[in-house]
Amino acid sequence: MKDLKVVGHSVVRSDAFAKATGAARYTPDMIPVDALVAKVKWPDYPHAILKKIDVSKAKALPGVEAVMLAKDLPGKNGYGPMVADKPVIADGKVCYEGDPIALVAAVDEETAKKAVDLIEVEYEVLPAYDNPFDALKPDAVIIHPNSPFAEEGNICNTVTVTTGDVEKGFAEADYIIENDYQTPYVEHTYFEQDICIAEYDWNTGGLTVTSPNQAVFQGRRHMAAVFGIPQSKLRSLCPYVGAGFGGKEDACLDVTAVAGVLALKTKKKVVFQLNREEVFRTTGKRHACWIHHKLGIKKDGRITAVQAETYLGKGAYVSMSGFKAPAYAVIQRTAIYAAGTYYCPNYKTKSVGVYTNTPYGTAFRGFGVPQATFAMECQMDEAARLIGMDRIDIRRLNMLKAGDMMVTGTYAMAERGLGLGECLDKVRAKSGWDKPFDHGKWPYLRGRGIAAFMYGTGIPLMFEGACVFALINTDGSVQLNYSSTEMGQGIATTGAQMFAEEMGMKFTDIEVHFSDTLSSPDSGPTVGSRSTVIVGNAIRDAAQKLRANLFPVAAQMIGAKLGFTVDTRDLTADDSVIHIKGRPDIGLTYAQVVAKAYISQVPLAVIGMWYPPHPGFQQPSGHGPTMHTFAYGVHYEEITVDMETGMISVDKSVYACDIGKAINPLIVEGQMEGAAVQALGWGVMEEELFDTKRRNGKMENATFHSYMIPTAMDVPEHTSIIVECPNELGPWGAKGIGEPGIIPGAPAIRNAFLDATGISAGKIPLTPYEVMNLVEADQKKKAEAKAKKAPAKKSAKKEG
Amino acid sequence: MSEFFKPKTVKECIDLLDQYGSKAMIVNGGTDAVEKINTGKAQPEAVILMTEMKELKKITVKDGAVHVGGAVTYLQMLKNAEIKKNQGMMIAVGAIGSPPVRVMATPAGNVGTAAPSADCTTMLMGSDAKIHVVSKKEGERVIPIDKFFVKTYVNVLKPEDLITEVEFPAMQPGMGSGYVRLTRRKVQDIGKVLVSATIEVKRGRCTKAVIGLGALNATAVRAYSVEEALVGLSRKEAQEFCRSGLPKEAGLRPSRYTHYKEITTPVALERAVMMAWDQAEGKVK
Ligand SMILES: Cc1cc2nc3c(=O)[nH]c(=O)nc-3n(C[C@H](O)[C@H](O)[C@H](O)COP(=O)(O)OP(=O)(O)OC[C@H]3O[C@@H](n4cnc5c(N)ncnc54)[C@H](O)[C@@H]3O)c2cc1C
Repeated sequence: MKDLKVVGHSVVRSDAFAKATGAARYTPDMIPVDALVAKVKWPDYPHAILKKIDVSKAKALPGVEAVMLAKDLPGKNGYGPMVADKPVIADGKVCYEGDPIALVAAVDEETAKKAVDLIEVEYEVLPAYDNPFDALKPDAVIIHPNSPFAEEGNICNTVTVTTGDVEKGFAEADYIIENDYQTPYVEHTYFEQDICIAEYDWNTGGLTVTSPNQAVFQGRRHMAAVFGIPQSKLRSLCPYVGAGFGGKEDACLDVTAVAGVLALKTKKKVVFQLNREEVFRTTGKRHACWIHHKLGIKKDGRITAVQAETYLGKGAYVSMSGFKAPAYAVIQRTAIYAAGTYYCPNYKTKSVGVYTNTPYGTAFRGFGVPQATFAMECQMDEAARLIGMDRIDIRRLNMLKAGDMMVTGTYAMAERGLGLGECLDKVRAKSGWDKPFDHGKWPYLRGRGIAAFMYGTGIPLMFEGACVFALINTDGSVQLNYSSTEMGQGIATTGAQMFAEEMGMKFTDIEVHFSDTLSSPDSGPTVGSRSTVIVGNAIRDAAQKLRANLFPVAAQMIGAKLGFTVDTRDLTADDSVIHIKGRPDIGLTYAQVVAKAYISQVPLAVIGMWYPPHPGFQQPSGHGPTMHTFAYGVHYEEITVDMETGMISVDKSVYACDIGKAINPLIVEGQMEGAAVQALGWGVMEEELFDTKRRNGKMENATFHSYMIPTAMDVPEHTSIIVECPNELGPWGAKGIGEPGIIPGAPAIRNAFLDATGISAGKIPLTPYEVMNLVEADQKKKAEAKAKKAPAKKSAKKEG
Repeated sequence: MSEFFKPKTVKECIDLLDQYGSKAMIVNGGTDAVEKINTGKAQPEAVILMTEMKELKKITVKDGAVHVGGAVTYLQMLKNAEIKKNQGMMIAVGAIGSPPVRVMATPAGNVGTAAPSADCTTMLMGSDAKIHVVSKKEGERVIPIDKFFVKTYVNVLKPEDLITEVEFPAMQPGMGSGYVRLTRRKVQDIGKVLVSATIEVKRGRCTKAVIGLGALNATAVRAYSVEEALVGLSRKEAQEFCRSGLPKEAGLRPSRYTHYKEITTPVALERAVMMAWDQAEGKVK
């Protein structure tokens, strides 16, 4: 095989200079000076009937250009990334703190704020639920009565998977480990707050909307109906994005709906930006999960069965939770990943998404897999402890191997890359696993834990696939356009690298134009860790097509120079020169070839495309193909627990991921490091809290003052190890790494906590508060056990 | 609209305060004040900046006491040789916010805000500090810190008052100080439990103790009961006493953290006192 010149190299990111110097433009840098400012009247209660809304004072305020209620909307009063259930403006009822009651557009922010304050609302307050169990009580108020998007009562939907026979599996087991796990609602905490600039188009009567948006085409499909205009009249574009982590597949719709309907109403430019508190209170969250997990194992460590029942607090709307076939999403992932990355012949899961009055549960790095994996990886450590087996060995023993049936009835294929074993071995070596470990001294106890993951690349939805547009200009420069979003993950760089490699061009000859419905066909949403693989293959296809157009021209031109026929198969290209193989000096630049092609009726523009093997997940069996390839990884974490204050310090992190092929190793390491830090937050400090007791279910910690995320000082010494077990269908073997990096960090910390303290935690985050509760409960348990062992006299006395 | 002033002298400053009264707001480091102005919680007509008040930007030692001027920043404190001798103060001040906050923020502002969970304030409480105040009408006053706070975010200052300095005893041989804060992450979090201690040890016995508690009550408080009990105890006895229970002065308010505070405050107290003890016995520099 030819040596790779661009792919596999850590070329400097194409956005590095602009971002490092502050020159890069984000949506807020583009606010037109004459834009009206939009504000929203949010409800005072998360769950309430709107009895009366009086906007007369707001309308009368000078400078106010529009005040809109549900009845004033131009199109459909409903949208969402999967189903159109979330109202643009609440109609009679609010289901969480982020349901707009009225929209205002005014000449400036101050006026808009004043106008919002002048809107008077009368409520009939309903009980607000922040967890599935309260929402499922027989006397609970139905959050969406008569909704086509509810299965029954407050249940949104249920996904099941059944493989083998769990009863038989548990009967075969020597041990059954049964525990409850709980993971919190989590905020994405992206830097850039949600914003949309909407501009009325006087030529077409349509709109142009600019916003940080992970899916410009998907957003357009949903928004056009809200605006009552054809999709073709709606241009959706997205400049650089200050991070998304899944949240901007959805929150961008919220801000776009508001700015868009106001722009249509006023026929002016309108900007709507959420402040940080509004981002906390109104945009999507990671689903909170309550998981009951039952694991059967043999004495030798082999898994015989897994059974799990998961309840997801899915917030007020469907969002990315998934609904009926074929729209399976987060809820489905929790149902198919309950055995993690292991071979499990007998498997039965049920995942139930339950409506609550919290912000809608949406996509968040890992898409339900982190929650499911958390439970399973905790169980694996419980198992290892119980049977006295090494924690890496038990994982190695059970990991999926080539030919093993997965829980969805499909098979693990070596051809698609199965790198978990290599990850386990590398982490074992690098972390010093087999060396003696200092467990510290009371009250500072130390422990180490590991956890593994697997994560499917892409989205198992029927439309999965990507198209890109490529044009080579007469100077040899290339315009490569796709609708993926550059949100810091580096897709504008890696896309150009892949195109350059396939074409034999210089990386710097390629300019990527991203996320604009006007400049490219649909490459699909920038989610599911899919872009490098799915869009990457489409990029490769575009390059191959363009090469196929240009090589015959080059062959003819070189042949003319040499005086005989040159076959295209004798040619290759490097550094933007098409030349005879082995003779870089006998060739022509792409610019020279294109100049000739241009006057020879050879097309210089192409559409590249790629579609993965078709997904076909079935219900209620839970069988059928989901994703064609999986990334794997193992995270090692070392911690110190202060047993008297509950404070945890994460001291060391070693992380290996099998990503098939690192198109740009530095970018991959960036993803792994960032995800490790985010995982740390999830494990020890991040949780969205709702005060259902005193404040009608309002969010308690809607600021960075009260919602903790890791600071630089909380980050441990970290090593990233890239493992490359190629995926035959990925570009150069690649698999996705954007999301999965977050999965194993939290269970590894939890397992380190178990190693340090001997206490089995079921709930994250392990905040000082939570840790002290655990330590107290443990001490009580130990004291009780001691009392039981004490002489009978004493216990008799106690009873008497 | 606010008017901005940059007085150069104490006299100029107190004249302005006298003129504008409750419509004036001193902005020192501004790390609390600017947030209040930005969010509309405060709408001063006159913003009085302390940036040019050279006479309040000094740290001096006089008659065994350290005098920290009313416009001295935490960064200045952290670099000062005299403050460096005060272990607890270094920890408390070094823990406030982040480096950019410490470049701007001041102890005067910390006591000015009167937050229940203020770090420097809690350490000052455990240092038996005094706040020097001046106004045009009343002239100079010296207020002991345990008489300074009224309730959450309220102190005894009148709108015309300027804090000119914060004073606390300089470290002597046989004296040590400690500070412990319990937080949800390593830095940049407001502590859930704050304990400060300054103690004197002679021949293995405690001869004097000053203890401050923060984040437990509506304001930072002195733990007199602990102070009295510690005198005469050996290191080991002191340690045991600290662990024996919640100090009487800790008036926990109901919150998600009440129980946590209840069980961890004795630990924090023990650690602060032991830290101070070790310094007093010369076990730390
Ligand atoms: C990101 C961040 C993190 C923080 N973390 C912490 C922390 O960990 N611990 C902590 O304790 N605090 C913390 N704070 C709060 C704040 O930084 C401190 O309270 C600081 O000491 C305030 O000092 P300042 O000079 O900025 O006060 P300013 O904001 O200037 O003033 C605060 C108040 O005091 C009054 N005032 C100031 N100087 C005088 C004077 N000379 N005479 C009379 N009145 C005066 C002002 O009028 C105002 O009411 C944090 C703040 C931020 C923004």
